[in-house]
Amino acid sequence: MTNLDRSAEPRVERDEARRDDELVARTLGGDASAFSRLVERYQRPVLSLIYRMVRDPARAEDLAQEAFVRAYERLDTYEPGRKFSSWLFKVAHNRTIDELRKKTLHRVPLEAESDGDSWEVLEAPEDSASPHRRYEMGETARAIADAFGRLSESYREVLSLRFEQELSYAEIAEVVGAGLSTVKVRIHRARKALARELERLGVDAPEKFAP
Amino acid sequence: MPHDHPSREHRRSHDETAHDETPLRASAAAFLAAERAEDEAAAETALRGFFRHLPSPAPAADFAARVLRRTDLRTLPADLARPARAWVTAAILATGLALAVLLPAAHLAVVRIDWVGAFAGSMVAIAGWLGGWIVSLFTAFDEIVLFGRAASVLGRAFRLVAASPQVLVALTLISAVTALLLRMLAELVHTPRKAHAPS
Repeated sequence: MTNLDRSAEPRVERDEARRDDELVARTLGGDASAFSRLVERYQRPVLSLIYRMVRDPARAEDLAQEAFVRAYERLDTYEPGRKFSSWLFKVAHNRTIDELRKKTLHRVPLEAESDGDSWEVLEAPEDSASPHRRYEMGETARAIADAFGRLSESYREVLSLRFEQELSYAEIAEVVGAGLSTVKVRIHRARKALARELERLGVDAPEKFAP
Repeated sequence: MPHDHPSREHRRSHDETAHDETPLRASAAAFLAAERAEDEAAAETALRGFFRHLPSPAPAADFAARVLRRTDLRTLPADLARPARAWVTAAILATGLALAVLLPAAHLAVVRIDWVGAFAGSMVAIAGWLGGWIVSLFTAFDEIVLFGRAASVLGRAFRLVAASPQVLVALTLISAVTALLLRMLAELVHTPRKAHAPS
């Protein structure tokens, strides 16, 4: 989806938007369960976006919670009819950027970052695979995630918003508070940077690839 | 990266075979191939696949419950919690401000028996009370007191008041009544003094 024309959106998306607006209205009316449903609905994408930016699962979870609390406090500023997820991502973006600027977030070296307990909370791909196979997949995932992690935080964010959260360019511009052309250029450069990192890792050359 | 592992050598040789490719690596390779071929659609599809397989943390089972606890939703209805705080803050700040201005007005009325001064003082106090109340209400809502924002809100509030004849009339009437009350207070204070004055 590359434009904000709501009429061009699929019906499912419009229904979801209506449902979100209804939950927001109920929350503003004091219905705690409605906000709980909103949190449950968006906890995964919000957590994922923040994690892509900070690359620390524990810190990401804490920031995601704070983002939801902030969203709740400012729920009356959300304009019904707009895309709730974009508004929420903007809140999450602002909260994370505040944190990154304020505390110069502790950047864990890549070796340590992909090691230890924090990695264990990450979802293991294909639970049905054998332990050996899962270990191998984990190693590959670590190497590729590290390559992704070497991109700048702003590149990781726009790539996640575009290809993981599937936002349009206009929506991404709204979330990150930048112009449309800036966002397009940033995504283009982010893709080139990711390609360079993956190439360096040798993902498409078995003889080179050594996670 | 993890260090040596018993199966590392075996794994490495295993990696060198094509059938070992993981979905994440496959999508990464597909993305690279599409980028080289400058195939925009294929690159975007591959990147979507890449992110589907890129590990991300799962929210804790009690994530939503913890958020709810932090927002106090279980004990305070959403539409009352913040406004209640805002109203209390606004009332305290505005009353303090109004009293600070009313004291000199009362002094003028009671001690100097100055009608005009008391009227002007009352008007300033009431306008200050309204302005202070509006500003503190807005700033309390945002929970961040920004001077610039407060000044802009105050400016808007006064423009609103100045543009409304009803508000101006009401403000004048309330100020006159306040001044009258202060004047009556002055009479009460001064009359006993006169009664006890030596003839």
